[in-house]
Amino acid sequence: MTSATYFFAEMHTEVMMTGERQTMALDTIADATPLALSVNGVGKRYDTGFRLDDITFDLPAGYIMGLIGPNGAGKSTLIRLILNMVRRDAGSIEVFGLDNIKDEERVKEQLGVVFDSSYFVDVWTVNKVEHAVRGLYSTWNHRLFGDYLRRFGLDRRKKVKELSRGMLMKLMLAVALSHDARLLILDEPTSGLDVLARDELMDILHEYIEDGEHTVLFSTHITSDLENAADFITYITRGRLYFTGPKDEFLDAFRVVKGGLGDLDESLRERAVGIHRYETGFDALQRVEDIRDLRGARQSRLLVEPASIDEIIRLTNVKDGDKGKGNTR
Amino acid sequence: MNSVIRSMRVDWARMTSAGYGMIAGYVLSMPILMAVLTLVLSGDDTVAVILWLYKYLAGLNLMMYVSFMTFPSVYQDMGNNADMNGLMPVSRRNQVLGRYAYLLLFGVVFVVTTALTYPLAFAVAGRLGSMGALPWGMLAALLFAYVVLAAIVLTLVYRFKSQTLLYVVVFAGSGLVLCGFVLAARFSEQVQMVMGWLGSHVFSSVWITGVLGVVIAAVVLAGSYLLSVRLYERKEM
Repeated sequence: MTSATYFFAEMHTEVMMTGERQTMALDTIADATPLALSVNGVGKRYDTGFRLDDITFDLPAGYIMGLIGPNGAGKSTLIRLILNMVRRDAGSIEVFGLDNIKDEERVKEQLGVVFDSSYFVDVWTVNKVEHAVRGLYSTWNHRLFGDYLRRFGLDRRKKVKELSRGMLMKLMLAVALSHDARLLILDEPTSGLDVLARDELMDILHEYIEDGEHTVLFSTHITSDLENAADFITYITRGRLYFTGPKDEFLDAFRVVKGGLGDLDESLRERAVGIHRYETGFDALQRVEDIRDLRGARQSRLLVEPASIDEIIRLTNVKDGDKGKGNTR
Repeated sequence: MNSVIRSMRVDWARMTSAGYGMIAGYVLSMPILMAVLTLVLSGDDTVAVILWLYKYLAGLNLMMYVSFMTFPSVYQDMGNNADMNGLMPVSRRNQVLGRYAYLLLFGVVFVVTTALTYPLAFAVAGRLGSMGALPWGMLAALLFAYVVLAAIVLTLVYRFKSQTLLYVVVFAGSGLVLCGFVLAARFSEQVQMVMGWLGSHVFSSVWITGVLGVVIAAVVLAGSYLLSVRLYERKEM
């Protein structure tokens, strides 16, 4: 990214917002550290009608980026485009400055990947898994793999089909971490895991990036995993890029306004990005600069709270009838 | 070359998913079966029995070695193991090249085991003196048939489900071999007449036959490889 731009993109228009503070923050990072991943104008079209359109974001080395969005938004498709597992229709992707198609082998030597389901043959033992993968990487570290197996409590004699979901994720992680991958890509690794396993994973990721040489791209729809962990957020919905930039800026850009149904007037609807009505009241997502317009008696009846990532995703994906006019600005 | 070998290592891990015993069983099946059946069936007409058994088992063995081409894909199609092809630092072209390297490697193993089975059968029957020369013409024809059939099956693996292809090759292929032998036995006079005519009019020159066989096999192999690469590079994982 050559300039700090945050895209609030919806179906027909893009609003480019630049702030001096944001520009300085991201430009400083981008100038100081190389880019681990650069996605430019990437697009993919399926015969089903689903489209991934004009996705552009950068991930500086040494940081964790959360790739978020509702189910079916295009997160897994984007990851498969990065891995060249599906062909892109437009744009370019570079990993550590290398084109992901022309330099595919050199790129993949630097990648570690964890999917939401195991990609090993079911009847392989953990030992056989190592036999299968160690020849793929010149940097394979047998001792380190053994250390991770001990740490995760994985028995080398156990077959892949005998491992629980959490153990399978740990096995994929052990493989990904044992060849000094510089970019770790995780596609929904925590779905189906309990809170302890998810916390353990986040601890491992923090250890992984501690030295500043390693980077993580983490796709999830369980956004609570990212609340504390992610440095950057890229938010995709309905195949379009909605936001990319520092996580704190993403959260600071919105507020949730709560009130009774009688308080939902035209001016609130004008400004809301999305509204969720329920029996006794409503939640409305507003941009922070619009909150300043709430004045007087009406303000005292409304509750204005910081928005969580979940709330932003939920309220930017409401049905058309509940979409505020603020969504089209 | 390095990445082709990497790909072959992963495919070897797939092929030996059920253990090394299966591969060993495939390789040793013809020699063991030949030895056992020779002992069981030999009698007054031992040499004739050996020759007939050898041709039949060689035909079956051919189909078994052709079916090897489906093995990596059969295991790859289990669960999400195909995703591993997208993660490993080997281009799709080199992944395909790795499987064609196995095609040639198994071809060598096929010819060597088939050749060694011939003297083994005579030795088991105690008739080594009656063996004569190795059936070089038959071995060359088997190698040619293997290369052509394996190349075709390997391309089909990139288009169709490998499990289905495995069944087709093993069962339908073996069935065709058996039918061929039954018909050849039923119409032995006519078969001998046709073989005689071919031998004197088409394959009269060993050198020309050999060169023609190599050229046709090479063309089929090259065409199969290019088509396989094209199919696989267009595939979405």
